[in-house]
Amino acid sequence: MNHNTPSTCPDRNTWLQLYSDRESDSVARRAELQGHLDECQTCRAVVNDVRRFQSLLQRGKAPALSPEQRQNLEERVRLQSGDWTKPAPATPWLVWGGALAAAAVLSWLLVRPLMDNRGQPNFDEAIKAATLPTADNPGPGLAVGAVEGELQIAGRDGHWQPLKVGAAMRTGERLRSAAGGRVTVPGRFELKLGQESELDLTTLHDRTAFVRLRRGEAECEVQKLRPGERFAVMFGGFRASVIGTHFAVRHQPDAGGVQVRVTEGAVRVDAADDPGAPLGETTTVVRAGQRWSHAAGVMALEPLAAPQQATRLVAEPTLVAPEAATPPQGTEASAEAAAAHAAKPAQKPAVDGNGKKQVLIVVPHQSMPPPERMGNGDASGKTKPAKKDAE
Amino acid sequence: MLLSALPGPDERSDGDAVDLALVAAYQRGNGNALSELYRRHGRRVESVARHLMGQSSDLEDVVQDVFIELQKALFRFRGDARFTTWLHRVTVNVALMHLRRNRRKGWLRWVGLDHADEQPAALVPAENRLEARDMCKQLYDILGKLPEKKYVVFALYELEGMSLEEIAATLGVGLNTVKSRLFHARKEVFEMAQARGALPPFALQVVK
Repeated sequence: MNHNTPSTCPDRNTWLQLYSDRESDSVARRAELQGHLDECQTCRAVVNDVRRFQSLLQRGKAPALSPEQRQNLEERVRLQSGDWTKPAPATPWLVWGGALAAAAVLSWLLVRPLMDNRGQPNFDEAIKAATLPTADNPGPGLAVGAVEGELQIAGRDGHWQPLKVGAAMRTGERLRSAAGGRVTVPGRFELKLGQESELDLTTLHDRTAFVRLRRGEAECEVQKLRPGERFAVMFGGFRASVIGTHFAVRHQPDAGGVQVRVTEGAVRVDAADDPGAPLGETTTVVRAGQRWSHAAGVMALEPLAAPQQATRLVAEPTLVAPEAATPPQGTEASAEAAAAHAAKPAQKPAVDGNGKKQVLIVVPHQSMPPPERMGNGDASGKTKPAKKDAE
Repeated sequence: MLLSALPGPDERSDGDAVDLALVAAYQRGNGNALSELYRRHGRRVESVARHLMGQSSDLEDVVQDVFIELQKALFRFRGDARFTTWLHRVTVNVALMHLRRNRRKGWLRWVGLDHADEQPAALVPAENRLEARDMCKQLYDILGKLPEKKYVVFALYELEGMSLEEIAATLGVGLNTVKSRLFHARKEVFEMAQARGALPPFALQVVK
């Protein structure tokens, strides 16, 4: 009937509003007009159009970010919000001593241009500094200079292929090895993967390298960092960041404790699952000649027993049994205090011909084996692929 | 559910107070406060930006830029608006900046519709999927031609699912202005879509 008298029908814009709005008066009015709609074919056609219009609109919405993109984003935001909006905390500098005074100056030079004269961040510089590649927009990546052993790389499509010299490693890709292998990025770092190891290249660009060890073990030798460069390894809920030097990491996920041994230079360890996170409250600076461990809820910082060699990576680290760990736990103050009187740069970070310093971080994650089964540091010098000491 | 739900900690009654405390902490120099704000509101920023940006590879950059902008803007925040409203405003501004840049570069909102098949195709029969893609594309092309002010209101209401009041507060305009822009935006897009045949009656049988 009503379709015979369309002059009494609501006009198209009214239907458009009523069937697009979420406002209560529209909803109410819609209900009132339902009877008319049942009767009137003309209006039903209009409403059909409106519904298709809405349906197409909703269907065409852009997809949300993936969890990986969100994680990357959070890292980027934290990176920008953290350390470089204000100078790094001053306390560690007090205990670093003269050896790192130069680094402090460099840090200051780095931080300073990022601030305007009121001490507020200079955003143009800041944006430039914080623009990191993402998995979606990985940039040119870093060229592989040398490959030894067997290494495979996979992009986001998950297709594994052999890593070749001259290829690029990009943000968002993954690296794995079944039998162990080493990749060199000239001038930046070497990554050595142990057997059955896999790591994510979380962020790789010309100043920042963040990797996350998924399983197995990795040793990272990092060239002396230039101002603005960062290198961090995430492992089992912790983060190890290089403080201006050269280090190696080993990590065997599963269970048990984690450990960091530093033989040269210094590494900062904190409980952060995020390479870009601002410094945590429990940041510990582990200096040459120290061992940091965390097991069964106890965090310990103590001197390394064996004398250290100022050579390459030291293999076969010992693992601190949780019950043997002296607990200066967690607070920066106690860690720093321990750091201060433990191994004052006893072994001055030796610099080799390439200006490299060396640090060894070892993070066995095997279910804590009894101490007597641990290898004793054989400190034999030359790089050994840090075999699983628990075996 | 078609409309974006934005559950967030700030929807608790004390959320605003927490936000204010975080802003104050940041203003006192605590850089971690920004990270915490991101944890609380990052998804909200992403959602608003996503619906304004459409199919854009810039989304991550936009979200990050919002938080870069916040570093500076937080010093100006005086708590005279809800933090979330103010955050929406910053997000809209940053997203529009990117959009303008993209439009200058011959911006095309539409890249593909592969993901659309994963969404419930309530009104679109399977055999019409391809047509639906075309129509979607046309519709979003039309959207991209809307003047900016109307476009923003349309996108925030229809795609992001904000209320009229929230949009008014975000844009700093009156409620009636929002209603009027929304009305005209809808009308223009709908009419253009009909004129271009972007709404052919393939689904007639679906609607009773």
